[in-house]
Amino acid sequence: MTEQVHDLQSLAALAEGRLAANERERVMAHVVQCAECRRTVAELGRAMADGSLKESNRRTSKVLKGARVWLPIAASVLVGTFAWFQLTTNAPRPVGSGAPTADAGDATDEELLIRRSAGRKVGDKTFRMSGGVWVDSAFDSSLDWPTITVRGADERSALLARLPELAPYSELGNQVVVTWQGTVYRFEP
Amino acid sequence: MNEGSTRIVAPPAPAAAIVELIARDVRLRFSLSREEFAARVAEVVSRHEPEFDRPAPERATRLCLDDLYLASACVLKEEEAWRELGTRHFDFMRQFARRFLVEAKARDVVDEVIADLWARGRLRQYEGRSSLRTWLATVVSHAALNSRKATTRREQLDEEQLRTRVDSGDAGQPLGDPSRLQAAQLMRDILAHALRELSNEERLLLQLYYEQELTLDEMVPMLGASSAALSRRLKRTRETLRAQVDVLAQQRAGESAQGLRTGIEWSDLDFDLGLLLRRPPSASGKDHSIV
Repeated sequence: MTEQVHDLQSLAALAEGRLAANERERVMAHVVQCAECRRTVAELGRAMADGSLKESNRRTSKVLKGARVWLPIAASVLVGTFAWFQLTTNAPRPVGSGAPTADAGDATDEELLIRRSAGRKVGDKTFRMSGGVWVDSAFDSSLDWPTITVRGADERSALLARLPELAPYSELGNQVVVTWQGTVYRFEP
Repeated sequence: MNEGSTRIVAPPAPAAAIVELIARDVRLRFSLSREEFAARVAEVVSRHEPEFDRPAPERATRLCLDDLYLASACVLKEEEAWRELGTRHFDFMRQFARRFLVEAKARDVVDEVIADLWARGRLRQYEGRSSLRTWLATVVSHAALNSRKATTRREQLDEEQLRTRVDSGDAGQPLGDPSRLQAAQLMRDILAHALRELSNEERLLLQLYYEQELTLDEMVPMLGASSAALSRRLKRTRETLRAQVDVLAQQRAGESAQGLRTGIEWSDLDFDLGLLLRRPPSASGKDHSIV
């Protein structure tokens, strides 16, 4: 192998450490003299280390790709279920009922769950998607605010006729939790 | 190499073991038959001179057979094979080219490489001795470097300037004193001699580390040793080099390298190593062979 004739197949095999000892010596003798081949093997070395030369194995990729898709979905469902559980169980409780209120730890967890999920701004309010529910960022389950649950299309229409200001928020989706003038409105399908 | 052929010419019947190997390791998904592909594999392993002592089927086990099957089908211009090649590798090739060139130029170069693979059957050169992706990266790298060389000489000029500075025995600051200049020249020659005494593997280790700035981890597959072993090897090589430089300085100038390099920072030595290693043995203007 001379400076002019680069044996690219041998260079690639050198980079992958596949050459037999005597061939390796022959290729190295060329590489130490050839700036181009040196640059090439250097980039191959970098690419190998940063994983960009690694082709996702097509035989296992279906499983892996599947996992890449399904794992986040499964995690979201899990997180969502947990968040929904938190929202419902930590809903405002009657004052003095003796029922435990959400402690600081729960609040932090919930806040964390909400913060990690997608957000959307409607008017001056920000909503986070949590377990399939758009939740007003101003909503605080530890506050003992009265809650009005609005179920189905009829109840929703009736409420919006009375409080049209809530319409933009309710349009976020089937399940929306929004606070408005000291009251929590929980829209459900 | 036979780049232009469009059909694989069958050599004598390949060993049955190769056919079995293909049946086991290759997903036969194109019209290229097992027997035709076996002929191609037999042809490839017959050229592996360094491994002639091993039987052909054993040599074949070391090949990336499925990649070779894909490449062989592409050489035959099978559309399905080309589609698979494109899906699996073309984006990667463009990304890899961007390591050397700006976006637009990288795209042009890769398009040319792809045209070359298609029109001139360059994939015929792929022999399955590495993964197809690594081979394609190698092809892209050389095409990109050639393109860069052709379009601009700025880098070469920079290198020349740097080399001139090194040749003058200085990595940046002028050595006004003639005796210091002479000492620096002598020091450089001594170092060049010492470097030539190293094995190719030691030289490559130094070049990759100092000139190409690879980390030891990045050299592991290529140099076939763990990063800890490479670290020890690097340290040992530098110690050998320094000891050799001392011996040569004593022989040539009657003083230690320490005394000889007055005004030349030892720390500069590492910085200059890449350039000095690059010099071919005959590059030195004078004969400074050690008697």
